[in-house]
Amino acid sequence: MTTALIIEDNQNNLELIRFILEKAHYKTRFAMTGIEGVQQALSIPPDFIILDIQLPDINGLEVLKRIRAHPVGKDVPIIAMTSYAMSGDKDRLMAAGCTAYIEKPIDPVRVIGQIEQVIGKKGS
Amino acid sequence: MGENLVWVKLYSLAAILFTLFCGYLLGSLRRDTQVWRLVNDLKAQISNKETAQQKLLEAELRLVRQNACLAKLDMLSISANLNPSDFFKQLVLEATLAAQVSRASVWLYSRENNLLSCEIQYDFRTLSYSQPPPLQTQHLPHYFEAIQQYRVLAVNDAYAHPATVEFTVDYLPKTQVSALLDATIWLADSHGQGDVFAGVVCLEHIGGSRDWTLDEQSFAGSLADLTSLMLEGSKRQQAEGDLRYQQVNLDTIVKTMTASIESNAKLFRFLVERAPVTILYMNAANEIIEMNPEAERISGYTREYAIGRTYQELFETEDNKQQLQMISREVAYGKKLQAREVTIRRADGSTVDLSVSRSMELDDEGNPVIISIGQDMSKQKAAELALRRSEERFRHVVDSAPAAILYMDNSTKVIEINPEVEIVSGYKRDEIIGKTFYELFSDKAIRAQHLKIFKKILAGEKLQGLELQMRRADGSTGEYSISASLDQDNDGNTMIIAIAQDMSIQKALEASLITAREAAESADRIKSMFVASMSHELRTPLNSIIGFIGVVLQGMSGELNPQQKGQLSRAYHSSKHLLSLISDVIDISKIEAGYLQVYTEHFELKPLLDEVQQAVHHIIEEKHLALNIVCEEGVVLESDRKRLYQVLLNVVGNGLKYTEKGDVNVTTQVEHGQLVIHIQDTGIGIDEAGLAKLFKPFERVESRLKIKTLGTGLGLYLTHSILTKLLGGNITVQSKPEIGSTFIITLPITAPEQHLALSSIL
Repeated sequence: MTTALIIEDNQNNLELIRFILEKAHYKTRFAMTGIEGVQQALSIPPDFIILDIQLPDINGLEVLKRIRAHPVGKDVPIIAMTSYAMSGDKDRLMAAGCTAYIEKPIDPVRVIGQIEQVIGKKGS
Repeated sequence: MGENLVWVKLYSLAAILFTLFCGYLLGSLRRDTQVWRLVNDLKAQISNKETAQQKLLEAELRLVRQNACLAKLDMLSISANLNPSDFFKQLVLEATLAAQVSRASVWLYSRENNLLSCEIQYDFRTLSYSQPPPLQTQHLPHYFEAIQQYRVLAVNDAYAHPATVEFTVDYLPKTQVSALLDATIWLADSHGQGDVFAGVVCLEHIGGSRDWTLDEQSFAGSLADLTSLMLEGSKRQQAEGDLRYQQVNLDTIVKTMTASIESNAKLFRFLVERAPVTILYMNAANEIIEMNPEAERISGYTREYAIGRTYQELFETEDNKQQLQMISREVAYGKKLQAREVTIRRADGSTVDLSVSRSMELDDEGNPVIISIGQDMSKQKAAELALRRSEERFRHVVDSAPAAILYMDNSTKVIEINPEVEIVSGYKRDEIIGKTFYELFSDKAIRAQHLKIFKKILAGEKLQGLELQMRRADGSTGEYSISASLDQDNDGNTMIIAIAQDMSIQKALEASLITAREAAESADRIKSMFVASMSHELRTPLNSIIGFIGVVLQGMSGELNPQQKGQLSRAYHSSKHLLSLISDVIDISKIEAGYLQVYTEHFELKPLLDEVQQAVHHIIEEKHLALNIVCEEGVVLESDRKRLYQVLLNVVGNGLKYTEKGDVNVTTQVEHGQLVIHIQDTGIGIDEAGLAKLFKPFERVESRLKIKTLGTGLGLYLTHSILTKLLGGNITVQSKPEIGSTFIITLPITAPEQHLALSSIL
């Protein structure tokens, strides 16, 4: 089974994305802080990462940079999600090595399609 | 079964969360919800503060202008050999600039013929001087009474004020003057009986009423005071001249007479007849033998009456008895008296002061005769009194001036000071007089600067408001603004007049103003940032509400019956609407907080318009409308793509929303480096009242479609803000009810200025 690592600090949003992914037969793990997210991504590499940008400790851009800086994390697909982006944020994320970018609120139907387009495979 | 439970749990969770947020914030779609009020309050506070700041700045500028003007005129008024008309010319010119009035003029009053005559008038609109005809004061009883009653007459509306009622017929319509500020010129009465009305300094405003501020009124008063001072000064110069003239006159007459006695009896007679002095011939017993017409005039006795009577009989009083005896005795002993002051009795019993010169001579037959020449001193006394009063006034002004005034000789040795010098410098008067400026106020560090300045002053350069440092008695140094010019003392020596003002108070004031302004600005920013971050916090739970409702609505947690689906779908759309409201609030707050989020990039216009078309596709389909976009290929812009997209989507979306039948046309063209986009619809149009508030926040134009159409009420306000405050462009609208509206967006092709892009992430 394809495994997703969800890095998200908000319990409800975490539950939402987890529900959607599990419905589509993905296996999920999660981290609720940036540091924990980096540790998990590098210790037990997932097949792809869903990354929230607003995190309590280090922000999403920093998480992205740390994962990409490590050989283990340099190729894993990372999909950034943020509730509100300013002009230029997307460019900054893509420049830091983000694979794709989805704006919240997520569309439960389209989001799986968007993810599959990025990782190139189905959940099971 | 388990799945069913999860569904119930999620559904109720979503419903509770949603109800909480919607109930609290949205209050369905009523305009007077808490969010509206909160944001409206904040906006009002921000704009009040801006207005207050604006006012503060304006007042500050006004005071600077007024002070500069007064300082300049002040310097001018004390300079030697000042011609009053030059002063007036300068005054009216400076006054129009400083008070920002259309015209300024000086009018002097002549008591003999009851005329107010204009000395000079300056018109700021034509930049020219003129001299309007004089005004008869008996034709202006109200005005004349009013200006004599007040120091400053402030007329905000000349057509409504009782004092200017006489002007409404002719003067006001002819000159277009609509408000005026008149300050009265008072002069000391030459008989020492207080101040008399001497004229008026008049500031006139053209174009509507004008509320004269207190500082403007006091400024006008100061102009009039300066004029009084200047007039007194010139009168004083004249009085000094008169005194000198009279003394010289007397000497000349005595000399000429002596010469004439020897050479020309005819000329002698002529002089005696015409001389403006009293001449008496007496015998040794002081009996009058002959007197001249001036003696008749001054004494009030006729020649016929006086001849044969003694001097004592005619002129003696209780008070002068002894003095007259003394004089007679001195003359009898052969002494020549010069300019002895005597008060004599006149025919009518009154007295008159004479300056008497007397000597005993021998006539042709060798008999002794006494020649007594007297000069009427009353005029001279009055002139002296006026001079003294004027000097006192001048002295008073100098003493009470809020500036340190120093009178120095050309080696900077201090001759005279006013009390402010003691206050400002910390030295006592005794320590100052006789010392040089350098000894008092220089130290090693600033001596060179002082030397340089005095070199300039002595070279004839006039200094105005030059900033320099001066050392005080306690060794500390302070910043002063100094004005200086040269003067000549009575003996013709070059002297220096210097006026110094302590800048530290002004500097402190300026600093506190700046601090206050910065505090106000940062408070505004903090408030706006608070709104922005609060809105951000609102979005996070709302995203999960929308997400979960979406999940349930899609049947991912189990099938819904049609009623459930319908109800949940309402909840879904309401949540989305709330989200877009919050997004708009965030945008507006950040724009107003000055966090300019401009992200400039190069992009082509056509694909952007295609995206807009894509985004509104479902509305076009639904309402069977047409959206025609005409745009050339290859138009490349340097701007913020995302913001422009937001703007176009809003305006095009509005067009479609308010159009029921017909089409929406978008055309683009480039002219003079500007991109011009017309968005024309065949919708319901907007009436005049609607146009006025179209770009204001929370104003949704009244329309019959209003109930049907959802909107934040912020869309066009935000669009306008983005275009004008971020992108350097503009948006205007032309509209006719029931025919349609055309929105015109203009935007520079290249970004006006690279703003710092602030990120939500960093």
